[in-house]
Amino acid sequence: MAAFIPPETAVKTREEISKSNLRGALHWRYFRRDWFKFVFGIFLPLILFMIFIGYPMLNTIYLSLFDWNGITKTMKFIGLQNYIQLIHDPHLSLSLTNNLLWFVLTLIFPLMGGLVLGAILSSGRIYFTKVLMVLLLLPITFSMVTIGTMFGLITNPVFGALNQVLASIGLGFIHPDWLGPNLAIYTLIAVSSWSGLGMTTLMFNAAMGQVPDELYETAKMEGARAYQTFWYVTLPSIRPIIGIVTVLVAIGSLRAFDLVFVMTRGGPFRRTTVLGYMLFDEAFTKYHFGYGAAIGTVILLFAAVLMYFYIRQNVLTANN
Amino acid sequence: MKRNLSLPLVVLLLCSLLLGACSPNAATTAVPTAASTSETNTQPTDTGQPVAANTLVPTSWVPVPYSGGVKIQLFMRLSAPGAMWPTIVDGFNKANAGKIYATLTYTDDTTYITKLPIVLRSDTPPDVFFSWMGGRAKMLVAAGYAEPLDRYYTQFGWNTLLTTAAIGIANNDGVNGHIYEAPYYMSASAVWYRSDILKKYNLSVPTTWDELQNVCQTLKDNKIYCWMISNKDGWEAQFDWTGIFVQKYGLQAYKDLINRKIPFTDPRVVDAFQVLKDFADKYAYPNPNSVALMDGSIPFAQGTVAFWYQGSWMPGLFGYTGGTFEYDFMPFPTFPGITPTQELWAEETLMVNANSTHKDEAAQFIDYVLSQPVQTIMAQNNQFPSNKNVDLSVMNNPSLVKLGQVMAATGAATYVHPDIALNDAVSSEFLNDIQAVLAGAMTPAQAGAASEANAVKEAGPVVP
Repeated sequence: MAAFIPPETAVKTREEISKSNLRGALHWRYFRRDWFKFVFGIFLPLILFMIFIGYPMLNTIYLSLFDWNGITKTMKFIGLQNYIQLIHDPHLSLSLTNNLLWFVLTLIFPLMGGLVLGAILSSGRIYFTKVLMVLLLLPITFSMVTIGTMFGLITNPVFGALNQVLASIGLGFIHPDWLGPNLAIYTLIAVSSWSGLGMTTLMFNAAMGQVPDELYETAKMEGARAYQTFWYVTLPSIRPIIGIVTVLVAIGSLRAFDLVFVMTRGGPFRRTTVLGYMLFDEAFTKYHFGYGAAIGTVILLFAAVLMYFYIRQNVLTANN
Repeated sequence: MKRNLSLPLVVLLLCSLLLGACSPNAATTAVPTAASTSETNTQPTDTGQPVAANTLVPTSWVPVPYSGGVKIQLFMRLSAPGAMWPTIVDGFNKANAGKIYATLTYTDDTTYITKLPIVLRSDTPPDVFFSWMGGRAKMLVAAGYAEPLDRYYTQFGWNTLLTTAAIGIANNDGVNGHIYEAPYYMSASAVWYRSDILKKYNLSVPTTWDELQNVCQTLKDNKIYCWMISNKDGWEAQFDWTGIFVQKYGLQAYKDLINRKIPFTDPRVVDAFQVLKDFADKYAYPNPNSVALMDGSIPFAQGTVAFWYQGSWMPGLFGYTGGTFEYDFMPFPTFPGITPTQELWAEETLMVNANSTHKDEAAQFIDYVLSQPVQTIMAQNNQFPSNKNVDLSVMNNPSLVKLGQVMAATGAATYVHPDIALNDAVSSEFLNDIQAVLAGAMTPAQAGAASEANAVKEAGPVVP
């Protein structure tokens, strides 16, 4: 019988987890000893997961095989027709492009920005580090609906503060149409980036704090400049966190909906439509519930792939 | 070194917070204050249509307690008259104490659209529910949720109680000769204009499209935008498009389009796109697709825009600006050789759930809503009643009283803009295409083709 392995050593290797620890943990003796953990830590969450996430997920996949307007009592089985229609839907490519753009740009700003800010904050070269961190983290406490409403007012073409600020510094002639067809998607991404910057900064800052001082001291003794230290010491040390943040940003870009809903409703003329909004529009505006479910299933597949990389990265990080 | 890095960071963060903090103030300070012809203060719904603030559902509302009898459930949309539902429900419950007891559930527009299918399929569906007329109403009928109301029209005398227009609308939305809806709140479109601006520049109220162009040119020469097109939410500019199409090509052509007798690629449809685009480029307030209905009210209140073609709810919106300015309305300008038509529709209707076990009691509730006392309360809150016996002089806005007279003179049901006339799957693409044309991202011909392709997919090919 395998002995109980304390949590701090339980992630040594995947082989150990699968072969000894799990088998042993599922044994009745361990269940009796740790019944509280099993019931409230495994079974209850699993049941809740199945009710609130598993069932709706399976039901969505099931619905995607039907032609249904969400109102009638009967549904017409059409097999994979919704998926075939989806592949030929020009709005799908537009939405995917926007999701991809969202991902790439949020990689650049919150990820790069977080990296730079994290490095600055952990450099010990500035005052008020904690105050700055609190200010950076403030947007995380706002709901995306609040943020969307706030930036909707800021970017408003009639009375928005942003254009008024531009005008006050002599740039009134630019008067950008922030939510117009050419800029709207970038405005949304910028707002999303602003709201996510604090979290990435926090994660990078925490990761940088874990880099052993000896490495920095050695680099200093070797005569490395600040950027060289950052490039050759800091970055390699926090690479696993960069991987995790990248996957999280990708998942976040796939989930983009709330800002779109609040600020543009996918418009003008679908220029800011993303997969999440396309689902909403098809299911709840056009009453194409089956088709909406097919879009939801596609999102689910994308999310599953990303989650695989996220979990893989997490395991790698833990092993490292 | 430390200061060099911290100072820009602090400044950047403070600037970003400051931007967030100062924006709403900019909206409120930008509006002038002068004497208003409208006394109703309003708040926007999520579709931008205003809700009268003095009629909003009070959060402290305590319904009349249940005192026995049949219980019926109501599912309503929180719109302008919908905000009076607590008063109406309390009145009904008091009048029917011990016999019928109505419980009210209400929701905003967006939630209503998403929630209605779920509510109707639930184990405890509502007995009476709100429905828009037109495409959505027909969908509910087709799904089997709407009870035919013919016998109640006869039993309660709604045929003689309601205006000709309301009856006509209910008949138009009927299926196989049956009526399924009871219109209780009517609307009309009108060109709202700043009468003080026209006076200032000695301009007459334009009655024809050509006269409008001349007026607009004069205003443009005086640095005033002639026309407001606020189309951020996508539904607003359809008023302008429909106005142009109906007045230029006639009511029958529009009915043919809605009834799929002519396609969206018809040259007349394409031309209406073109006329709208040309006019908007020349005379409309800039960036129409970024300006929401509420936003548009600010330049209108400030006097930087003179005309605005929208629904009869606009005086409520003008009141929301806190502005006091002179305004009036006129019909949409006419085109040569075509008889002008006033747009007139039922903004809200009620349906009885076909699955209700208390249909007669549900119909009694509708009869109460259509009764003269309740409809008079609606009129007092500047909503147009469907009961023809209501004295419209109780409305506290002279423009609305006048518009009510125009509506009465119009008589029969005429037409309604596409997002109500058609089902959402067809109209939403059309509304997107209007936005694309206004932005110059599509030519009128491309917009017509895109709308038609979607209409074929959703509603089938045209049958001339």
